[in-house]
Amino acid sequence: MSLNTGQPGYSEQQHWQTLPQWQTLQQWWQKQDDRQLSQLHSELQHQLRENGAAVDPWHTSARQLDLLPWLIDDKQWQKLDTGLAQRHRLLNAMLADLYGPQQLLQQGIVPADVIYLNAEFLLPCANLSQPYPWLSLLACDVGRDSNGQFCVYNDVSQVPAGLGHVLEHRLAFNNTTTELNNQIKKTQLAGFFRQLQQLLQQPAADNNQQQLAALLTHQKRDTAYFEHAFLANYLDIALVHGADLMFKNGQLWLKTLSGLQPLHSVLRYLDDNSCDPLELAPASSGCAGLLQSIRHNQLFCANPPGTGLLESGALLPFMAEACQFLLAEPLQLSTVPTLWCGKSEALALLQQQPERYCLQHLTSNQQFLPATLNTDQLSDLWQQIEQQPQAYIAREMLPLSQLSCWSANSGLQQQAGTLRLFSLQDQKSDKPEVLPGALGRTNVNPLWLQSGLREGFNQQFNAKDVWVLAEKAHSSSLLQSAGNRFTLSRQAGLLPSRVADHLFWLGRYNERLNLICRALRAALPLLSGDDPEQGQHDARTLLRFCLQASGATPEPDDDISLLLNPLFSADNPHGLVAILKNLLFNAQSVREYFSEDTWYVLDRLQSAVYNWPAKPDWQHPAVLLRSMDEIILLQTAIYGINNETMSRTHSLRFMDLGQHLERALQTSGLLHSVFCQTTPGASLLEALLRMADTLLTYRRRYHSALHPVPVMDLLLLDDSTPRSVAYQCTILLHQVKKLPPQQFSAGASIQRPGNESQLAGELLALLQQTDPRQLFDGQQQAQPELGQLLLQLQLRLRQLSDSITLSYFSHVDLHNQWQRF
Amino acid sequence: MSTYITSGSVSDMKYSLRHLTRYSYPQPVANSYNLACVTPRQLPYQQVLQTRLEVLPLPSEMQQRSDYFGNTQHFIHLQSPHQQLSVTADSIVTVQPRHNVLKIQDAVSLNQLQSHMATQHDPATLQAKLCLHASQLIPLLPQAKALITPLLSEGQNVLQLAQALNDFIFNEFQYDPEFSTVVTPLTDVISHRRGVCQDFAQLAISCLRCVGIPARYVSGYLETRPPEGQPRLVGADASHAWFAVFDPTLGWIDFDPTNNLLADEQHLTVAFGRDYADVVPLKGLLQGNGEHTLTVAVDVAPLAD
Repeated sequence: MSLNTGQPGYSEQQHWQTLPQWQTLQQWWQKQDDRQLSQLHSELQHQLRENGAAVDPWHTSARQLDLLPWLIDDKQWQKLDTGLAQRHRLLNAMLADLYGPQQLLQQGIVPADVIYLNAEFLLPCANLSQPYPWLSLLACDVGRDSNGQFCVYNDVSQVPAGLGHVLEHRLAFNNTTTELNNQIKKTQLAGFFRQLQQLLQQPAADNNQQQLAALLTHQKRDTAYFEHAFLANYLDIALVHGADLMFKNGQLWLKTLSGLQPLHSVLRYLDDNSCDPLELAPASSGCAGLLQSIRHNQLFCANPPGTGLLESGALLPFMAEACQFLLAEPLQLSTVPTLWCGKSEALALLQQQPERYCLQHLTSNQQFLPATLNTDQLSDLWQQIEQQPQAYIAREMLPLSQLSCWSANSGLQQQAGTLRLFSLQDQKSDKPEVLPGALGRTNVNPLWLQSGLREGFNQQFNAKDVWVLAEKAHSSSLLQSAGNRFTLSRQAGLLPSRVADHLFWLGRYNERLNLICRALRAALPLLSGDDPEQGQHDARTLLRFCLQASGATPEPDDDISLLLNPLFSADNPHGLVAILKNLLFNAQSVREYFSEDTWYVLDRLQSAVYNWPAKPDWQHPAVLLRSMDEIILLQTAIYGINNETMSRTHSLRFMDLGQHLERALQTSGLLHSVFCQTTPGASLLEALLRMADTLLTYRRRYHSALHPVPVMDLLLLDDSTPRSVAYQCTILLHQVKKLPPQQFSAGASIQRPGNESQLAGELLALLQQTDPRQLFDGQQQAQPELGQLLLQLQLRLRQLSDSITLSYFSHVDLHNQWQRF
Repeated sequence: MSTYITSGSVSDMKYSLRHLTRYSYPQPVANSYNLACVTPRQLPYQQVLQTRLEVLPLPSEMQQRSDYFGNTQHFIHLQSPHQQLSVTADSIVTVQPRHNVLKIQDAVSLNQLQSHMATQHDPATLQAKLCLHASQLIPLLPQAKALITPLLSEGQNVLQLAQALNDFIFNEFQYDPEFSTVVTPLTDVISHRRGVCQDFAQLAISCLRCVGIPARYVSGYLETRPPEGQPRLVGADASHAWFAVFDPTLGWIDFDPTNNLLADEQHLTVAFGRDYADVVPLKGLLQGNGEHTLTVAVDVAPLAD
């Protein structure tokens, strides 16, 4: 579609001509050749976190960060700053009034219909936010009008999306264009985030202890989720889903490893209607009782549900009058011209030039762009409006700014641009604090930036870092700013149970993938050995183990292809791709617990697995072997990095437990496949030792040919071999002893299962009591006792896994979903 | 303007009310959050002398608040495993006659009402504006408009129209408890010409809102025992529902289309709202498989002073 607002946008660069910083920027720019620009540009994109680890192989980045920043001079910024601070106060007062005494309606300043017909006016939220201000956080989209003045065209009050991006963009620039950063002084963002942090992490009134704060997000793994994770991590608050919370005794609690912890404040990144399935929309991802806890002043929620009323645009036509009435001040930052169609003059104006407007139906939240409609569609729209004109708001489209944007393909190009500003109000001060920066967004089409506002902007867009030019730049580093006030990081007990669950399964899936790859790496060379018949027989044993480990039940006499193909098939729910998907799902769900490096490796691991052939050519195994090597190396790297970078808390412990439990379980299974289902020859024994990285150890110890008894001793009973079952059980015992004590409240229906330390201790005792020589007869054939022992071990390991699950991951009955009646 | 006696009259009626709602579950329910709207509200013509809400098993917490319309709402959290939940509201109320029959002639015309709604913003009118549009369970249907249009006539006032509608629904629609559930859409009620008190109230509201008359949904009870020589009224022994119409000077006047009556001292009001969804007696969330059976028992007994 070809769209324009009929007016050329305001040229920002024209405005910058007098700025010395613009001269500096231009001089810097001219020094870079195309290759350097291209390099810097891709370096910037790489810094964006979501590009570091893709959700799936088809994922493309939603944002491009432009190499040219958007400059705002001091004078211009002062206007925006005071204007936005006033608007924040005004919107606060408007919400308090509309959800309270409704003076605006009684005085006829706001027509009752725009409120009562509005799908975003939620009756359960009336008088909700006492004694806190309704809006702690506000985001506003501002754009230039035809006179070149900034005006607000969108208030964002439910989910202030983009705040994390602003921070991310600034950090990306700091890391990429060092020379430029030193030459142009700009205001720092740290102070704003410090205030936000303080707002959320209020110390308790009675004992001055730090209280628990969380960012409440949804469960989709989309780009918005990455922003939430980034922000939660930066603010050092927990990232939680509705399922992590429960309402009890008048307040919300976070389900953690050491029981329920009271939650004091929530930074809400869910839509109004998704916050509370009891009082708001039934199928929502929030938590029943959330409204009740706000009502009883037990939860500070930034922002509370109900604020979506602002996003409907319904109040835009009445801002100036409301400002006079509520604040007794003239409105400083103007609002985009907006018509309420309930007035016949307004409707007439709209009908004269419909293409200049964007229409919003308040009851359904539907949006209409007359400029994109044909004659028939337009006449349908008129009919629809005539039935209930008072339910429609028409917002004029702005010409916006024009700015140069750079891309490797087309070089410099003029695009329309708009700013998203952010402000913050705490309980104490009267004046909201405005973030001295903004999210700049550009697009070739100015209408694109001004439509579809209700859907958020997690689509493709070009972003600009916005530099507010100040005489004196604050020098405090973002990270130092946390100071010693925020010493409460993720204490052991504060690990949410859901997170522990994901970490545990991440450990298990990673190890499962690792062992299967190791088995494949050992099996494939056997096929091209001197004795093809024996080789195929041995390889089949290892491949059958792979299938068993992945959860399938292989037929005993399948040929090699029949055993191999399902492992590589992307559709097979037990295939390697499926295991990798499970691994990544669990990792994505707790992404804030990993370092950038881990994400880099996970990303590499993902591409390695997705690049596998769907039908492996086992007769030419060299390619396959190389990919196995790579995967095993990457997985080892994950453990290594996590050991280096994750703090020694329960988060690492649960991953560790998962890893060692899986290794013990699968190794027992492997030994059963090799010794109890076949009689292994020397070549299979060698492959087995190679797979477990213990061939050298064996040779050093025994200087002899391969015998089943010492092999069994090394892989099952010797607790100094890092891949033996006994070694895993030793670590399991060590780790479960350090698990946090359980503090379950009375009333929660928990069946406390057998003690984990006891189960792990029994496993170890079982192995210590075993004499390897008695597991084989004189002909080196496995005795029935060996099979029984290996099955017994697997059974008890599964019990231990269940026991951990019951004790730590399910505070309430997770198997029963919530039902509405 | 006439004056009406609203209280202290010898004809005050005193009632003892009991409303039991019981859910039985085949599987134990571990945890449930409930919102109850079963406690009668205070009104100029109705005084709640005593009221008590009993929940079994004992809830881990219960809190009371006034909702947007001023109805009493209880938040109830149960945390011990249970297979049966019963919520019993016991109240003693007195009710005065409202003399609504006498008021009807004093109502405004449809034109006067519409111009009042368009120009006035006082709190009472604002509350009426909230009940002027389609709501969650009450769409403004062309079929509903087609029902009310023939009832409009010259010189008629708003309450006379409402009475004609009340009469029409009573005569043309069949009371049929087998036909509908709480989720039967209004279009089905209209096309089959049958339903229960809730359907009739919501149908009347849809018709009235279609022509620009504010109308709200009222939940409550009917006196059980009929006066000597008169038949028992339909809707006794269960919760009842009717509708009310807004007049700028008379306020809200209640009509009972199920019995073709103007609501009076036999009608005991629990709550009102835009439609049934605003005043559901007991709703909530539970952790379990969702199967349940529901028992409701209502007892209204007149008390001697």
